[in-house]
Amino acid sequence: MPRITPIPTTRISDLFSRQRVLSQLGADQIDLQRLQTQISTGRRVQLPSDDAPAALRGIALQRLIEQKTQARTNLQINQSYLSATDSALSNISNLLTDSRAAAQGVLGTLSTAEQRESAATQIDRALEQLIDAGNQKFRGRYLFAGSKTTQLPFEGRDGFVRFNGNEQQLQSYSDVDVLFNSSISGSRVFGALSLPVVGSADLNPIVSADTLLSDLNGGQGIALGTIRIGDGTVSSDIDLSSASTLGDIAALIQAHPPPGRALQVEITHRALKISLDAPGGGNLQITEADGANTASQLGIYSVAGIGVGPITGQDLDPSLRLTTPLADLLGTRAVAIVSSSGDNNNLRIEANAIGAAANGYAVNFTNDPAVAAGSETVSFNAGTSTFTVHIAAGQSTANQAAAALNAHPAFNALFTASLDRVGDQANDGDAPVALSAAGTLAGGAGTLLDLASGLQVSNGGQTYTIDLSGAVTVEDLLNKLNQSPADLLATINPDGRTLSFRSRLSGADFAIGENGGTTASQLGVRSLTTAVKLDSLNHGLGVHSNAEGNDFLIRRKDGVELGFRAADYETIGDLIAAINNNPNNLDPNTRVTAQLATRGNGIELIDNGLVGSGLLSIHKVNGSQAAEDLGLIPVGQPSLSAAAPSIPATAQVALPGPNNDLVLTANQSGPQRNGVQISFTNGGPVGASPLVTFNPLAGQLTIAVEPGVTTANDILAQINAQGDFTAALNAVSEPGNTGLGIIAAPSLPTTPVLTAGGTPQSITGREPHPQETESAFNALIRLRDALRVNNSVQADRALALLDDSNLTLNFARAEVGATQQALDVLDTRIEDESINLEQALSEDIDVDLATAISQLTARQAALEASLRMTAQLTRLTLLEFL
Amino acid sequence: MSLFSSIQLANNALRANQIGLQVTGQNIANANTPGYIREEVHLSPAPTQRIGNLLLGLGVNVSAVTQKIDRFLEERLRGARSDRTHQEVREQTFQQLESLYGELGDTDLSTSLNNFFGSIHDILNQPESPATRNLAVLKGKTLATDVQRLASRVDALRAGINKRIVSAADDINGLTERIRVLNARIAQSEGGDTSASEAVGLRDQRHQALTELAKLVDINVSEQPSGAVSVFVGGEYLVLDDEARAVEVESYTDRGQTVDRIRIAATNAPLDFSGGEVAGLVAGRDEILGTFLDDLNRLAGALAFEFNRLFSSGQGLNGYQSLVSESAVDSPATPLDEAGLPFTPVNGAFEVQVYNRQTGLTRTTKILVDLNGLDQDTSLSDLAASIDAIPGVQAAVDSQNRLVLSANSADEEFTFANDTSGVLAALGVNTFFSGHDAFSLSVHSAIAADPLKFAASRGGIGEDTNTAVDLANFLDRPLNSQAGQPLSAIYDKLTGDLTQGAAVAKSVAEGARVFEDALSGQSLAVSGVSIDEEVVRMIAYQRAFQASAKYISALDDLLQLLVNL
Repeated sequence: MPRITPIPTTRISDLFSRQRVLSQLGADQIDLQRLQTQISTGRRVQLPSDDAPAALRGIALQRLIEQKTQARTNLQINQSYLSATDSALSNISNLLTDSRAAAQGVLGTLSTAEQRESAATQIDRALEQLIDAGNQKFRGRYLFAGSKTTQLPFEGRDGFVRFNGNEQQLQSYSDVDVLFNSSISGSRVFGALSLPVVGSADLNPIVSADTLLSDLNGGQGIALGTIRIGDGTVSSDIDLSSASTLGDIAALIQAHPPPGRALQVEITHRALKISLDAPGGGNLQITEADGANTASQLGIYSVAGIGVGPITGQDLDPSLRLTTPLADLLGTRAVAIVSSSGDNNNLRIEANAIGAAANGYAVNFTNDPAVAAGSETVSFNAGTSTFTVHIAAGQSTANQAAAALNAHPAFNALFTASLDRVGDQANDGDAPVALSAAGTLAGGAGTLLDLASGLQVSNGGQTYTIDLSGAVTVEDLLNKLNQSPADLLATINPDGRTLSFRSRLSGADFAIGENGGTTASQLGVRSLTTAVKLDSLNHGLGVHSNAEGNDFLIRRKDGVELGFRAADYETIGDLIAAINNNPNNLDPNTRVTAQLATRGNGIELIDNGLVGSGLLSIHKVNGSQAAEDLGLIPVGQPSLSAAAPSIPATAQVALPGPNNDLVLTANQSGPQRNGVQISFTNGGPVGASPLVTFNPLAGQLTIAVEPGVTTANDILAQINAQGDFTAALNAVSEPGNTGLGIIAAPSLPTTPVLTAGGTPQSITGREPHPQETESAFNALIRLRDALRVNNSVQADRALALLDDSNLTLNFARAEVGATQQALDVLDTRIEDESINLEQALSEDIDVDLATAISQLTARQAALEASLRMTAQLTRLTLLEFL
Repeated sequence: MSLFSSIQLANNALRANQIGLQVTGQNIANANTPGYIREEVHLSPAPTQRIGNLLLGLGVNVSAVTQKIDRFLEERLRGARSDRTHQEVREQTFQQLESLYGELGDTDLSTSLNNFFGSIHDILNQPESPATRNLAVLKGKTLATDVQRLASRVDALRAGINKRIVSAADDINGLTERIRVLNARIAQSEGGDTSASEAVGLRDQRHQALTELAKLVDINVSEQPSGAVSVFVGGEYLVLDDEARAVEVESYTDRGQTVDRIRIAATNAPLDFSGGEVAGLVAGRDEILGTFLDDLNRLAGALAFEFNRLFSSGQGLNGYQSLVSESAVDSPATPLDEAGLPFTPVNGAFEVQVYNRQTGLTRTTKILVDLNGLDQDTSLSDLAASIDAIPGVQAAVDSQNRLVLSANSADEEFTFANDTSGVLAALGVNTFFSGHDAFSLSVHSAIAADPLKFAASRGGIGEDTNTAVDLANFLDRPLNSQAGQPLSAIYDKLTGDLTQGAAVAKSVAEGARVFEDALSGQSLAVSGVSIDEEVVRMIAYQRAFQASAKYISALDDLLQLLVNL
């Protein structure tokens, strides 16, 4: 529109008329040009400022349309993957159904071995096809590999199937800020990973100044806000929002005490410990200063207060992380803070290992005039378990005291001294320690994780010993497990407290046991524990116990038989207790002990008895197969005996001088005679009849000789006469040993000799509670194997597994189908939305041609009229009439 | 009373009408001269003569020729003119900026942003495809180039405006000098008598010069009794009687560019403009373009830092064998939050993952970044030492104070994870973008060289796409460093400010034009020449002249009669 300017009311000059006409012409032409551009470009708004509100709406709409277009692209690409997945799942479902039909046809009938073999072969083919289906690739992606889409997910290995993928699903955006799962992992479709063996033990890592706050409270972290610490009279608000570690929290609290007061903060291995300076008195209170609940979450909230403290917080419960040191698990290290007044002189004494053994040790200082600063010494009083640092009072610094302590062998074997930077922020250790400062180590608890023994893992018919030595962090431990050939998937359980172990192998039994130590139990991942119920053994088939009468007998080496009926016990622990506490099995000299195997898994029977020379054995009775089910007797055998008889303990007694070395062997076999101390004493004038006494309770064999007179042969004769041990001349250490060598007084052995090598009889059962991967592959492999051995019980179980797999598969198909359907709906909805958005954009930005052309015509007419009027007006002058 | 005196009276009338015709002719001649102020002849009856008891008039007297001008209106018009030029320059600047920005088109920045984030969506769609990661890097480069190009074009626009400011200083000096000279000549010509005829031609020229000056700067003009005018800008005078003060430009640095401001040369006092073209140019350069650049830099900085924060905690399909941080610190011993990094890291921690290709094992190490300000805070040297202690990685600070990392063996690669401190993004380690503002934004050389390092994963090298899930939605993700605003909101503000500013400038300029036109109309109503009016006057003068001539002829006849007696 041409602008409208007022016309002067007094007079009109020619210049004004002309300028006005020109201005109007210009405005008209600009308007015409604008309309022409609008019509030719189809856009009403050429520059956003032409119509700012509409342009801003248009810009927002444009972005939304671009995002919707991308979302549609996402939907379409992922629809193609999901369609391919659906098609693969459909094939898999058919395979499973066909396999079931083939097996069903030869089960429960009078089928021949050939027919069963034929069905087994058909299942074999189905298995191969199933692997092929599981490895289906579409547009360069393995559909069932989880998020590792370039990793071949399934591979056949020694008759089993290994899953190499992971459980994660890929995600994509179906709309602005709306995610959907664009893949389904093979583990969900096929069940390609075993159910996790989740550690039952809370590994309970310790906290330190370096512990991240985000790791606390089981990984929930701390909502950081402001806390208020007061002494009952004055208080200080402490903003903790900048803290990242527990050390930061301690530092911030310590740096902002209530006015005129001092706060001492300590990080115990479990919690924060805060106290007020004692001389000032008061009542230490810690409350929230805002709504963030920081004090509560740090476990130090205390309205009531407890004098000057300390307030010891609740367990901060840090989550396990890959970087958590293994040395920080399963207990706490004893700690003492040796605090001197002033700054830069506090020492922290910490045990090198977790456990209670270091509790009670003390560190103190004494002024030693002979000591100059820098040459401090340490003395240790074993009686009082006290390390005393000899210092030059007022001169020896914390650094020097720490160096002296760390250099002391008895100290550094157990402890490490360092500068305390929690209670003393910028501690550089250069200030002198106070003579009165002292500390007693406390707070140590727990047992160090047994890394030396490692684990024994059975999978796929193989037993693997996994060496965990050298592992420093949880990640090292997991790496060793995951890299072992045992096909394990070990992870930190989502609860952040325990580890979880899974098998990648389908069709195989999987078990985790000890390797002679306590590692599996400490990690809580032993697959057979005393809590396992008997009816869950053997993949849930349980133990087939007799309705009446015993299921099996244990025959000890003394010939005594102990009878048991499995149905009387609920758990493995109950059975073990029943064996150990059987009234006829309480005499230590004859007792057979049941326990979980020290290597691998299974129930282990140990006959440590001294009495008897028979073999420990287990026998089925009354036709029961319970002992088989418990793994005590191999399948198909009536009984099982110990592999070897007990071996008696022996000792080689090397006496000074020639022809006098002896070998002593216990007359009763077994480990009970191990560790017997053989000691020589001066028995006075006993001559050739040395006095031999044996105290079985104390485990001591004492031989009183007459030095210089008694010969080895004399001793030999008397030992044999005594009856508990048999003595012989050692011809190995002394070839041609005559036994005539005398026992010379100055050479009488002072160090007792110990017997060793006595072994019990033992029977170790097989693992009766193996885990398995409940997958379609597993079901087919189990079914095939059951058909081949014609085991209808196992075949029925396999069919049930197959049904479960089919169900899982159907769920997966349903999930994929539902996702596809949802994506279809979304696609349609986004398409509609896009059309609406385009329409809205068009209304804001695009030109309405009818309007624009009407305006153009109107403007054209106005211009023509204006030109005509101008021409007429210019002619309308007085000059025309002169 | 005699016939001769009557002839003298007629002679006066003839002369007056002749002058009237002369002035009318002058007005008609300048009817089309812009800035010309029409002139007017002031006639007055000649003094009377006593003859006996009679008082007889002696005819007509031409008392003055003056300009028809409303000085108050002219002052207002000059102000309106200053305002109009000021607003028009703002309008033009916005218009040019809008054209550069190019929103509503298919090649604007928002399209580049959406294309870039769309390419990350494609990584989610096909994480296994190296081509999608390559495409994301290319789209990232396009985005960075677009941002850079926009910034440098705006900068060039600022430079162009600055040249106009420099040139305006010369124009001001030329005009003030002309006014000074004209002042002197007018005073001399008029001799200080404003009731007498004015030095109209000189005044016209001065009027023209003042108009030109008002277009450049908002001036205050006051006329002195001598006929000279004083010209003030803000509190400073530019012309005072016959003295003119020259202005000069002073250079200084603003937003990385050398720019100029105008000041009085003699006193170095800066001139405070609130209207005129120069004020519009200064506002265009500093306020419109400068603020836009600030906002664009904020957008680019937020994109670089916050995107990198997410990205630096992710892992690609390949790890790093060697890496040099993009940013350097002022001093390796200074705590990192005071070390002059383009972004400030905070108290936190990150993890270094060392991946062994042979064994497929990853070893993770937590690195604390202590910046709590209470005790010994982490410096770059401390950080290098902590990383260097990790088996498999060597770390050092190079001579340019950058962090240099390398793997110990060809089988080992390193990556990073879980950075809560932002130190990786601040240092430019495992980042996608490098640079910290619109001018320096680019794709990190390591990613550009190997797009497979695009960190889509969060659980380790090539493990998942969890980082890409966050990156794809980055545009709408609340950003901590921007008080919870997402990048889309920052972009919307940039666009909104520009669009609204441009629309306002356009409408304000239009208002200024209308106002000036209205005043100009009023001015022309007073000072403009109307041919018809002049013709009427011409006829009147002509007729009066003819009548006077006839009168003389009548007197002549009377004289003739007397002579012939």
